[in-house]
Amino acid sequence: MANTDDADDANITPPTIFAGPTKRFFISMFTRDIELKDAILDMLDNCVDGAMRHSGRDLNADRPYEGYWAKIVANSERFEMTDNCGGIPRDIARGSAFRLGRPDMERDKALPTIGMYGIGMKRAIFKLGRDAKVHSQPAEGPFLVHYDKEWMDEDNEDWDLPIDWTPAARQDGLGTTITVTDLLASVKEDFSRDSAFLEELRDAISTYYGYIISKGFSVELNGKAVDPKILSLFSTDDLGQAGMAPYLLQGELDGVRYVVAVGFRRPLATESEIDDEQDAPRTSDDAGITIICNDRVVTLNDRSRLTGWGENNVPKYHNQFIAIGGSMSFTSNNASKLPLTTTKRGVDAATEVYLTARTYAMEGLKSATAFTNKWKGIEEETESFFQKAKPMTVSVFEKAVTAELRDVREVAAKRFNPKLPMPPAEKPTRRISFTRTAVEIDEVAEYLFDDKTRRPADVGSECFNYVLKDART
Amino acid sequence: MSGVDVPYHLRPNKYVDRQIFIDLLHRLDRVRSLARSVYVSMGGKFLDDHKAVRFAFDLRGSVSIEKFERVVSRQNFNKPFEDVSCLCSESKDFVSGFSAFRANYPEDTNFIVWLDFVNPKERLIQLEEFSTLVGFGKPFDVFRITLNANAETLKGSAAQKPPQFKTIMDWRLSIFESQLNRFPVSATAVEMTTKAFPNALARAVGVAAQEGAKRRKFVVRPLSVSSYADGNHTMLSVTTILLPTEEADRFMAAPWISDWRHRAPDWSTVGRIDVPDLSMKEKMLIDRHINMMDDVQIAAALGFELGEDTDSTLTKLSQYRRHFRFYPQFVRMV
Repeated sequence: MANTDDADDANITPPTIFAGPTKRFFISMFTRDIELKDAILDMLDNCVDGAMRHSGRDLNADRPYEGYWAKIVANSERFEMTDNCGGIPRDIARGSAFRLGRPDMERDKALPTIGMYGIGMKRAIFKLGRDAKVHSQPAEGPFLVHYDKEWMDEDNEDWDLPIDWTPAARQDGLGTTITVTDLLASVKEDFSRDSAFLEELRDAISTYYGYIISKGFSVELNGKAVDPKILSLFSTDDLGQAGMAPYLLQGELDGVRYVVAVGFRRPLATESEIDDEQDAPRTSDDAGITIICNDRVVTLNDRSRLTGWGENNVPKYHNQFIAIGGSMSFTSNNASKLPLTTTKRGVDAATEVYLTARTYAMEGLKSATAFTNKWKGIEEETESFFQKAKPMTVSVFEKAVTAELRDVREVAAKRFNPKLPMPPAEKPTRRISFTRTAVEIDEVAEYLFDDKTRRPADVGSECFNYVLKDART
Repeated sequence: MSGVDVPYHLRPNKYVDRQIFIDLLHRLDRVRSLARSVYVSMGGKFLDDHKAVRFAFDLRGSVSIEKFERVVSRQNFNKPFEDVSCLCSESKDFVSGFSAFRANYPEDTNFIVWLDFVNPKERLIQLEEFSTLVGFGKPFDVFRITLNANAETLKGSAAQKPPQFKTIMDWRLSIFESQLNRFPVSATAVEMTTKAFPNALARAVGVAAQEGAKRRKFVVRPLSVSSYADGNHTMLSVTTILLPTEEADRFMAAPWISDWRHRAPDWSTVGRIDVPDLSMKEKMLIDRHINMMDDVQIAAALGFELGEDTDSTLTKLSQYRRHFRFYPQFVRMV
């Protein structure tokens, strides 16, 4: 028999239904979208942002991060990240810091920060383990938040988090310590001695935070400082003469300073090296253009159209261009002006400042690829140019090249166009390439050199010289 | 190749197209002086366009770009003024180095650059070069491109239509789309004919130009879009101007520009240049009556068909009427 009771009817067809999130979504699902390494880098972003907020320094200064540090301890028992970056201000702790998502997007809008959504720390905690303490000491005094096992229970729909406003104070200045224990099994495994993960993490920190570290920030992983890994390009001292030097352009557009550098990070690859690279790519990984926003590497060694490869007369990337490296660096004290996507993890390639910088990166690529192509097959002859030059970081080169910079007419920028040495034009060269069996090559090597171990390229070349002599007599 | 080696006086349509360009420059000069401009083109061995432009305008200089060293030597012999600079450079290298090139000139210099292409197989590269050029542009630069717009060039190496295409036009469309995939223009099979193809290609020029101007502080506007037969080939010429975004509408509304009868209303409306071959005697008769008689009356005054039938004669007369001020009058000198 049908139940016609009013109260029961409302239960069956309530006027509203609950459409809020479940804790399970945040704790177990949301963390699937991010790799552990990136989650930890997100936490480092918070440290750097904190340092900029705390110092109020200008990013264009020489070493804006000087004196700030973050120390990471990661082992099978616990993960801990401590920084001295000013701590989380109490009002932010009360308001948004522990909310899942930032209610106020305007905060920090005019600061050179890189974090944005207010999810980085929380997501990283959930990714790591099921018990976490956040101890922070801003100028107003310390506080402690404890995500305990009960709160982390996916079925527990209680979202309130207890906060202790009178914990013990830390001794090493203002900052934050995040300690995660009860690590997830997969995390324990990654943090164990047998795993390569911690080396990969160190590598990622040295690469993605290389520019920040080189400008004064210090990062320690398990007690050992992380060394910065940043791009160096070959340059001679005498920039007025023909020789190896990077292309460089410095410009400014709507409050964003951009610097484009394209050059050679190593001598040209010989033919046999290019062949080896085809079979087992190694050094090619470091070729390409790196995009940097406020010193944080956003895209590493790009070799696609994003940075202009394969477009408008710039050749597509190929292993012969293995020696070419470069960077497009954007700096603004107002982070919202940077060419970043809303996640701040990718480049917004449709922005005016990015497109402008890309146009000039292509100009640099054009000259570097033309140099490579012109010396193709006679790469050895360029060795002396590289010997006369030495690797320089882009910021060192910027200082060295100051007197040589010339105004660009169509945009507000200054540029240095290197005079890369070119082979003499009066005798155009053509490449000859052919394949023979190894046995045959050995046979000819023995005939010509009395030495079976000579390189196939030498054998081929000597064959040609041999016949050429005959042809001329 | 189009009639690349044929002198101008045997190519009346090309001559008219160039004279329309010079007419346009006269008008631009009235709105904003060209005195600080430098003219750049692929002038060929005789540098005819340099002669025409330098005699007509007081410019800051002119530069010819030429791929072959031997032609550069000949250009140096033929150049009308000592300050015509003849560079040995391929257009692609010139365009990709255009920013550094313009930095050699005073800050307030504008450029009038004409990229005159003939090879239909390199349309994509040619459009990319045009796009790059626009990207290195500054407000009030004038950039012009001439392309091979012969629909017949849209075919594979074997002229046999593959069975998956219903008509030859469908086949051409597929080739056109793959050729110009970077500058999509939503062309249709109907446009893949000799007559309509320049319209589709002109739109691609528009897309390439606007791609170059994307997110810049200037806009690019079409000034003239015309097609003409040059020997067996149909060619398309598009002349554009870069304007500061906030001034663009005002500039284009200036009477010298807006009232010009050859002005392109948009990227895809192509003005056709197809002037008739006329003897001096025929031309003199038509000129004498052109302001007093309509085309039918002039046809009657001629007393014979200029074309194959009455309609074709009237079309030729109408073409002549539209372009008679630019029609070449060559006579034997010696």
